[in-house]
Order: sequence, then structure tokens, then C-alpha cells
Amino acid sequence: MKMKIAFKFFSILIMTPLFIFGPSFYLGETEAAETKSQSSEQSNENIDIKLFTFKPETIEVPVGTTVVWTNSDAIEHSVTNGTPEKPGMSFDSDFFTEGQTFTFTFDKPGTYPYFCKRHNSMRGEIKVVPAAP
Amino acid sequence: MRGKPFLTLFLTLGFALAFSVSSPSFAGGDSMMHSSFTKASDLRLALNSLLREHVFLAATATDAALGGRNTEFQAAAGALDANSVDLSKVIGSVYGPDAEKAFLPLWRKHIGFFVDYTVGTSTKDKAKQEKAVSDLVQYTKDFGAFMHSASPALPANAVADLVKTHVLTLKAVVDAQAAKNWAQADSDIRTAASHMQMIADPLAEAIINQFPNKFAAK
Ligand SMILES: [Cu+2]
Repeated sequence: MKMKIAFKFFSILIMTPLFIFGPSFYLGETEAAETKSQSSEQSNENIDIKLFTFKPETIEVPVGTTVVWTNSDAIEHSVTNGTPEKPGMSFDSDFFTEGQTFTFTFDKPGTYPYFCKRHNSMRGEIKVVPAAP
Repeated sequence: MRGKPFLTLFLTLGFALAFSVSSPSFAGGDSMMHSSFTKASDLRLALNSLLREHVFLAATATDAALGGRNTEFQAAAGALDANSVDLSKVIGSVYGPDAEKAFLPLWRKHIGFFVDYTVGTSTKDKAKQEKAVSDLVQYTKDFGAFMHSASPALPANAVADLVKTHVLTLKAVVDAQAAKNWAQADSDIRTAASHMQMIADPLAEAIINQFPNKFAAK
């Protein structure tokens, strides 16, 4: 079946301006994430972004934990604090694509919801609790 | 606006018929959606039927919207959403509940962009139309990426291109409806509907190859 389509795309990709927060922001290739092997009292938690889902969606971690998100989808996602209706100020990875990671260290207890700016239905939550005495 | 009562009646009857025919296995078919497919042919049929139905219901919705018939639009949009839910259940039956949950808002998103395009067309708001088209083109990449994550054998770009053709064929329907070129619109609806096989078949094939044990029976 032949399509008779004479149509031009106005496909200008409009990127949301970059807002980068926090000194503990790190964005890079998976293989470049070298911090993992450093052994200390600080722990790492990994979250996989796969099939437009943060896996696991919710985690509870002690203060000082570094969370590493790895994008396993062939599309850009973001890890943005808050909700689409009310973005937060704590962290925003902006867009990062397949194979890249975003790392953030949680220094303060609290509940940190987050979402993807491109796919607003993608939600996750980090619950940061005081470190065990 | 008085509209075209004959066409409307025809379409309504057509969809009522389509629904009654497919209802035992698809529409509102909780029985089917919650049990997984065991036969490859069932999966292929389900994807083809639901994706074609998507086109017909979308065209009914856009026609009603362009004609300013809100009650009819709401009804069509409701049926279209029920179709989206059924489609997400097929996805869930194959890839699991997380995929189902992620698929539904993603699929609904392109319907929202189409509503935007239709509203832009009916109000002659060129900026709104262009934004909707740009959103739809972006969307095809999202959909391609999603399917590639679900079934790595499906190349993201190839799926995106197939969905782009879906977007363009449905856009042609809306344009013809807006121009009140009914012969063209109906011919475009047939083109858009038959194109869905180009999406459904490769999807079904990839799934069947990915889960050979699940789809032992042909
Ligand atoms: Cu995303």
C-alpha cells in the first residue's frame, strides 16, 4: 500500500534549559563511574532505568548514601527531584541517555520524590533516614 | 453545526458492530486480558485487532471533535481509552506488570498529542498544530525505545519509523476530515488501519521469538 504523504516535519527539538543543582552531581559513562570500588562507611545504591521504569521505584537508605541511576533505555531520561507539578530543588540530572549514569549523594534525611522530565509518568522515591548510631 | 448524520450513524453502527464481534475476546475482555496468550496466532490477532480498532476509534473521535460534537467526542474518547487499556494489558501479559504500567501512559500520550493537533486544526491555530506534530515525532522515538527495551530484537529506529507512519496516516485522516473531504477521509482511514499490521506483525513476531516457550502452539 503506497502512502501519499507530502508533509514536512517541523521537528525542532526543544530542549528544556539546563538547571544543574548541587555539588554532588556527576554524569558520565557507566565505565567511567570509578567511585564504586572506594571502600568506606559510605554505601552505594543502584537504580536501573529500564522500560521507562525506575527499578526499584522506592528505596530507603541511610544518610550519606550515594545513589547511582543507570539509564538502560535507548532514550533520554532525567532524574529530577519533586513532581512534574512541583519540581524540587535538591537534584536534577537533566537528560542522560543509554549507558550513562547519574550519581547523587543524600546528605540530609527526608523523602525525595523524583520523576523524569520527558516521561512524566515515570516516578520514584528515595527515603533517606538518619544513619544508625 | 449539524454535521453529517448519515456518516455519524454509519460510523457508530460500524463500531458497535466491531465491538460486538470482538467483545468475547477483546473489548472489555478481562477474561482474556488477565490470562496470558498461549498461541502465537492469538497474540498476533489481538495486536492487529486492537491496533486497527485504535485507528477507527481515533478517527471517530477526531471527526466528532472537528464537528464540535462534544458528547460524541467524549464517547469516542472513552472507547479509545478502553482500547488503550486493553492494549496495555496485552503488553502486560507478555512483558509483565511493570511494562504494562509504563506502557499505558506512554501510549495515551500520543493520543493526547493527536487531540492537540485536532484542536489546533479546528481552531486554525498553526502554532498548536506544529507543536503537536513536533511532539508526535518526538513521541515515535520514545515508543521505539520502549519497544526496544522490551524486545531487544526490535530496533528502536525501525519501530519509531513504523509509528511515524501511523502518526502521518492518522494526520492525513484529520486533515481530510477538517477539509470535509469525506471520500478522502474514509480512504485515509482504511490506509491508516491497514498500516497497523505493519506494527502489529513485527511486534508479535519479536515477542513470539523472545518467549518461545510461552508461545509453543502456533
Ligand atoms: Cu524518561
